[in-house]
Amino acid sequence: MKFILSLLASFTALVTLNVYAGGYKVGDVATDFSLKNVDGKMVSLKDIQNTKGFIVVFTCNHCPYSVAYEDRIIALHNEFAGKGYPVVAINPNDPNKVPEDSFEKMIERSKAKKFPFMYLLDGTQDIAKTYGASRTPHVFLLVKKGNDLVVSYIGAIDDNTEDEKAAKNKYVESAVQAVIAGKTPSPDFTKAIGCGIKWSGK
Amino acid sequence: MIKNLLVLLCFTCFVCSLCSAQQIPIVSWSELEKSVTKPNVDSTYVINFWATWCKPCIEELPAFIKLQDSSKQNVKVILASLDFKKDLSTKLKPFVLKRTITTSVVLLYDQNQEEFINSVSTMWSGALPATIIINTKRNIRSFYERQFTYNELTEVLHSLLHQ
Repeated sequence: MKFILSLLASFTALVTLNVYAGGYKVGDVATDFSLKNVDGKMVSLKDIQNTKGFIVVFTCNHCPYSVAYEDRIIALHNEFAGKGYPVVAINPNDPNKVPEDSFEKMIERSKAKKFPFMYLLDGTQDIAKTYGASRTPHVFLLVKKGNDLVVSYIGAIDDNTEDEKAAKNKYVESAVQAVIAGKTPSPDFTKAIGCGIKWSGK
Repeated sequence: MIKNLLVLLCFTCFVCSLCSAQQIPIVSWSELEKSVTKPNVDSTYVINFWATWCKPCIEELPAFIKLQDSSKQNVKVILASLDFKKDLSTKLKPFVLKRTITTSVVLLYDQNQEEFINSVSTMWSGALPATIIINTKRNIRSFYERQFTYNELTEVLHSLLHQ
């Protein structure tokens, strides 16, 4: 019995590992998607005109780390949408686990904060899994190269969640600026504390 | 004699006040790590990274408290909160008080989050909850980015300590 239990534990550990070890690395080509926006329309990246890339942010309503970054995500969109790099926010959480992250609540939050960017629901959680998002907020900077969307930066928005003014490194801002200047972002991968994505069935 | 009794009384009050409302120090990961990795100390430290706002963390919190309470071995549970510093008095302390948590709670604060996360484990993406089990004397350092039940926790601990 003990053996079976430990076998089961190892298996669970392996599965958990796989979830986090999977996903995109910088340089990979990202998949497009068709997800429902808070305005009720389905959105695919290929349909968004006049863009050179996208700042894809996995985020949500309930997570204090996401909330702490909301104004900074809005600022990123306002700074870079006109330059061809709009923010596309995606909520990957299972609303059965967190009712506050339901589609209706997303609409409410989007209106209350006057989100200037699209706020999409990843209802099947497939996009979060494919991208390898593990927490909110979690940023994937995609840059168009021909018909491909190349992952150019993965990670945190900056290095201080609690106090924007104390942030020493504004990772996403620097990364987009580097891409606009024709350079490679550095760093192109960072980590930060965030709310683990609420996967369904776990 | 009376003086001695008074001292004893004061001491008892002091201890009781500690029990009912534990102090929550703000520590960096390097400080915490140093205190749990003393060589030749055969203690097993179970450090759970959590926050008052993290739902799955709150769900698994009783498992860690139960582990501490029922532990016959030399196991020490530390609940390392990643709540914001500004929320220490307004959220973390009231939470600990309300649930009368006597298991050690610290508030972790590191200027450089990425350095801290990688220093805990390069396997950690930064998502909560997460747990690390350390016993320096037995060369154990095992990291988990997942939620635990009490049974899973004791099972993992057992297999680590009896491998």
